Amino acid sequence: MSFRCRIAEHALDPASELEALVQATGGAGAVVSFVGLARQTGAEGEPVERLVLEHHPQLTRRSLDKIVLDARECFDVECIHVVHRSGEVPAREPIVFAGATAVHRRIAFDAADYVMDRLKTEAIFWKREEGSAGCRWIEASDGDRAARLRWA
Amino acid sequence: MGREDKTAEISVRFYGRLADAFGPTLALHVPLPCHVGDLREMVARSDQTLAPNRVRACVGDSFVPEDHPIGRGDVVEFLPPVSGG
Repeated sequence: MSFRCRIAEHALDPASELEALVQATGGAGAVVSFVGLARQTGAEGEPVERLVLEHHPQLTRRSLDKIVLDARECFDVECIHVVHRSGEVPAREPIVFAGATAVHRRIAFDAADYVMDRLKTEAIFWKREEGSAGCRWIEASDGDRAARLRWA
Repeated sequence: MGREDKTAEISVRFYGRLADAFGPTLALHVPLPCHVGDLREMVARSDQTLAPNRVRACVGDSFVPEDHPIGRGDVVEFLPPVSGG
């Protein structure tokens, strides 16, 4: 069993993270992973060159730990791995990796989905899109909040 | 006979868009007693509020309520809405 999360100050490699998740898995046959990429366009179609993520020196890690711990308690999973970038992320580069393993695929899918819905609304990061059109702070959307409520 | 000091020097730290508006940190001299709710009103501006339903307050790496008393040397952090993932 493996439950872990980390904040990555530099580029994360989804392939390596997936391999690590598979390596950590024992008897579970279902492996589900999600990778979120920094968008190339903003909400109004403006070009985005990079996403800048800020985190809190203590609270961010604590928020990630809680999400992983809660996922472990809610789902019969063998592993949960979360890697979340902080700092500058160029457009199209990975921001987050979230993976879950379980004996049954439905549980692995649900656990990964749950982790992402929690990350979108509760992980303590502040995101700013930067491009030629300027800078814009991003907040969780109504859709993100509605998705989070599915698990209440 | 000396008079008890009724003020305190504190620091306020901001994150995200609040840091753009206020700067990353502020050093303040506040009258005592002072609670988090009082501090919000002192710091807020007409173009940038610190409404408690949107901005959380944190002291010593713990979220605190509006009636949390602020003491000498405290660092109060104001956190705007978060967005991960």
